[in-house]
Amino acid sequence: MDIGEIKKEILSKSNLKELDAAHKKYLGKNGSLNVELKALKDLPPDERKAKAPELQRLKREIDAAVVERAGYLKRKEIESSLESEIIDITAPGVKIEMGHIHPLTKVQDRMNEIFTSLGFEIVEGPEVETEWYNFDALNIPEDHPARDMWDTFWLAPENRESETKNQNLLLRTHTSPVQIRYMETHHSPLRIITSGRVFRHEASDASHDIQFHQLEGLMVDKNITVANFKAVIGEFLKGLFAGKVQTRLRPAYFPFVEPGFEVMMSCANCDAKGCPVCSKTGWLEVMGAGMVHPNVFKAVGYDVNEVQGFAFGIGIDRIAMMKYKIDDIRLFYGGDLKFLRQF
Amino acid sequence: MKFSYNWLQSYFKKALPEPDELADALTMHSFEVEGVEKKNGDYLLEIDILPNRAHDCLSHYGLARECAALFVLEMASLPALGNEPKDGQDKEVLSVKILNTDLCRRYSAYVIEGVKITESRDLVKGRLESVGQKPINNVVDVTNYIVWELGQPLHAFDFEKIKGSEMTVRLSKAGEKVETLDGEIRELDDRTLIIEDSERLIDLAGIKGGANTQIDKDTKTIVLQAAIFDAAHIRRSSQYLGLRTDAAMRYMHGFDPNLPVKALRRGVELLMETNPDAKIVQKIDIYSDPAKPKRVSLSYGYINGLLGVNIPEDEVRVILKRLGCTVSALRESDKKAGGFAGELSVEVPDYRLDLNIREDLVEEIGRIYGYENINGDPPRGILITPYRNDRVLWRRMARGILRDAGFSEVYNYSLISRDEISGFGFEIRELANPVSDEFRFLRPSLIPGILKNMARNSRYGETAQIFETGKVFCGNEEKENIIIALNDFESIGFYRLKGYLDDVLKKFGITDFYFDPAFSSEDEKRHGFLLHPGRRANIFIDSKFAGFMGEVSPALCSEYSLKNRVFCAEIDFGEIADEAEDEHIYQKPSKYPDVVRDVAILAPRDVRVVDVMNLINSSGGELLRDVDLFDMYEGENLPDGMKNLAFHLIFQSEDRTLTSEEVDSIMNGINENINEKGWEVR
Repeated sequence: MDIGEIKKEILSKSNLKELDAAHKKYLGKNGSLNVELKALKDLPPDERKAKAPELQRLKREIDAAVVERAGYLKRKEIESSLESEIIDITAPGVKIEMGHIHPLTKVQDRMNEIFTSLGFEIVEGPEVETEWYNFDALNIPEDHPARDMWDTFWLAPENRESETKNQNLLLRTHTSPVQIRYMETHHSPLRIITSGRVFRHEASDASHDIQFHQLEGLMVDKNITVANFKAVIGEFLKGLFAGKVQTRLRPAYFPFVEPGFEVMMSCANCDAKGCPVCSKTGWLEVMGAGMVHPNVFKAVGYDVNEVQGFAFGIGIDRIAMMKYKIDDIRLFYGGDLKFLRQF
Repeated sequence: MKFSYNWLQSYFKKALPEPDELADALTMHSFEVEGVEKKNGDYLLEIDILPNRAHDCLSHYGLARECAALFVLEMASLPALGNEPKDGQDKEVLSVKILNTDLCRRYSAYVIEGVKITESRDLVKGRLESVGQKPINNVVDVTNYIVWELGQPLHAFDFEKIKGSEMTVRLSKAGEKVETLDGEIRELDDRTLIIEDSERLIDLAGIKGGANTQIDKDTKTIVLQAAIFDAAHIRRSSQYLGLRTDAAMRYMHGFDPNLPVKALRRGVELLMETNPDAKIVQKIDIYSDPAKPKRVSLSYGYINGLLGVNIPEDEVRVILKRLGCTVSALRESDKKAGGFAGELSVEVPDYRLDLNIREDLVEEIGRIYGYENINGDPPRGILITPYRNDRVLWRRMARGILRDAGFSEVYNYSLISRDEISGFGFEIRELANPVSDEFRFLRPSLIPGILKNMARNSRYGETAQIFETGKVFCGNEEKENIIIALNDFESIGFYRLKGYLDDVLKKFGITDFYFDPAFSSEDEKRHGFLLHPGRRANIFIDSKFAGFMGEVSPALCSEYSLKNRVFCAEIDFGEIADEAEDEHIYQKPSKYPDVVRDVAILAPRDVRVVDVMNLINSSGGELLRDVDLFDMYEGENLPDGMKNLAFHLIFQSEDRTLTSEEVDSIMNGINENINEKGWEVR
């Protein structure tokens, strides 16, 4: 048997079936080489010793040539099928209807994340509140003109008589009552954020609605300062707007803080150069804040000589409007999927 | 309020900063300047005076004082403010009685004879016009000018119209009426402060003057009144009467009790410009409890400790002096009076009603020093992770699961209309002062909002899968619900929803839940009308009622003009959060292949699928791993009243490969049990 001839024969096979037949011709049950190999055992030892290595070598070479040829033929087969399987990749992907998270949730989640990473606990509270928690405990007594800063929805009185003063029910106008409730049951030091839905009795337009969402923060310890507030709020706004926003404070009045500030943020739209978004001033009002008023600490039973701290409040709707350039707050509450699917 | 730049400048010898620069400085240190407008050689500044400074800065003189402190400028004083007129000591032509001294801190007035009604001189008219106030005549203009200049409301009565030459300040009686200057007749309650003469009411004190004693062209003698009425009282009456006048607004914020007399002196000075012959014949000043100087104790350590800066001591004192405070070392008497131990005793000027405690002074020092000069300083504290709020965590997880399942989140209003609450059989909270009928009641359920969303979106022929989490209000109870809703043209929508619900609850680690079609009569009454009676179920988690699911009643859908059917599940999210569990132990998957057999069963229509599945499960033994309904059919090609149910049965062992014979034998057992029930294996 001439191995050169056999290899040529194997290489001449153009499909796996023919190749298999050729393989069997030599090494199948009755293949010529196989017959010779089987016959070895009947030969005298000397002869067997002389012939066996040559036959074994032949077998190895044939097997190897067949495996190689088979690999080649399989690759050829796949390659040729690829060409017939060409598709038009410019056709659109199959539509998979994924749901969408509301933009207000997205903004609120982001705010929660930032503050949680700074060690603030998230606290929630009721939307129907008493006059005491919403106003009195926050240093906004009855008949004080400051009450006019919060246009309030009052609940119709219940049938049963309420004897206790300042227990009239209302829809909370801010989430500050949650801070009062928390301080009543927890000691300083504390770091909390409260967020949720709040209500204002006002005519609705593109930038005002009867309900919106707020996130408020409170940090109290022995020696919390305005400088601490500036640092924390700077971190928060940088995190929220993922950029180099600057912050500054200007005086403001809220009865539950003293000193009180309005926090201004450099306009992210124009990089503080001045544009229609910031009324050409380069700055946007983003939150009210201040150092907690001693009367608030007194209302919750804290010793005003032992604690001081900052509090702030930010409108989630307003921030979402700034972030996504939404021009009408009412879009948030309309349930229009054409709007919601963009988030 | 609008301020004239030139008017402000008139109080200074030196030049104020340019209008834009002035505006920036005021915004950063005092009040926001909302606009600067150039007008007739002047600049008008629209300034948002903070409410706690309304009492001293809602006037040109007051704001000039603020500018003097900010820019370290000396003010040219108004000499008249300090000069007590000499005449007017001898007569008592008018008698004034205050019955409610608690509501009238100070009552000051001049009776002035020899008044001649004419035009004001040009400077007065010009300034009034510059801020948009129309000049009327010399007397009315004086009262208006004083408000713009000093902030104190003045009122001029025509003395000859005051009957009996007497005035009494008292509370109204219910039903009393007064005609105000605007010609309106106002009926009063029993607690509005008024002024009457010997016969009738002549003034709504602090709110609006009466028509019967107003100045006219023939007026010769006037009573020029400057009083201080109680802030809270005026606020209440103004709200009650729906009369929010400029004077009332100013009274609501309180006044320096020394201002009325200054305002009268300045008023007379201005009147003399047009009426040089006018003469004060009587001066009235009823002021029984004069204000004492206010002292506040303060320490440098506290100032810097609250601001987080290091302002030098002499700079602190300079700032306080610029603000008109007198600074001295803390007196023993202050310490005894319970003041905070400190190094300073600060006497605040009488016109600063808002400066009462040390924090008020810290704010003054901070804003004048400039918040921009306080550098951020990260707080130092113990590094601890915050307490985890599970409710927030579970809510976020629910939103994620539902989004992944193809549901979009909506937010609806918490307030709904009367139409939307009709049908609920429990007390629904109503607002006392709704803005409109559309938003009158606190929502008792999330379904009305969802139906509005469905209606809105189906207009464009959209299929929708939406969800919402939010507070609902049932009587006095407030709780958080979650609603999952989808629309479909077929009843399969019910099963799609149920499938999602199964999956969602399982993702929360909740396996102990079931659906019960039985509605009690209480359920019917409370919310039965919401759902299709044949396609609904109560949901129980851990054997506790947690909510309900079903097809929204077609009658209700038609009210929203919905063309397709809506399926929803509304669940108390608190029940989910209570049972949710984020820890579980993994189960090793079997490494042996499973064997799938199908079975089709013909059964009467009223046979419940759950009963068939229970029978298969109990007959299948432990090797039957799963029973999966893949078809449910009624109708053509089936005998009347029958339905066909087809199941995949999946068999698998933990420890061996099942043989065909083994599975056949289990299947035979199942088939026998089915046939025994009178159902037919096909």
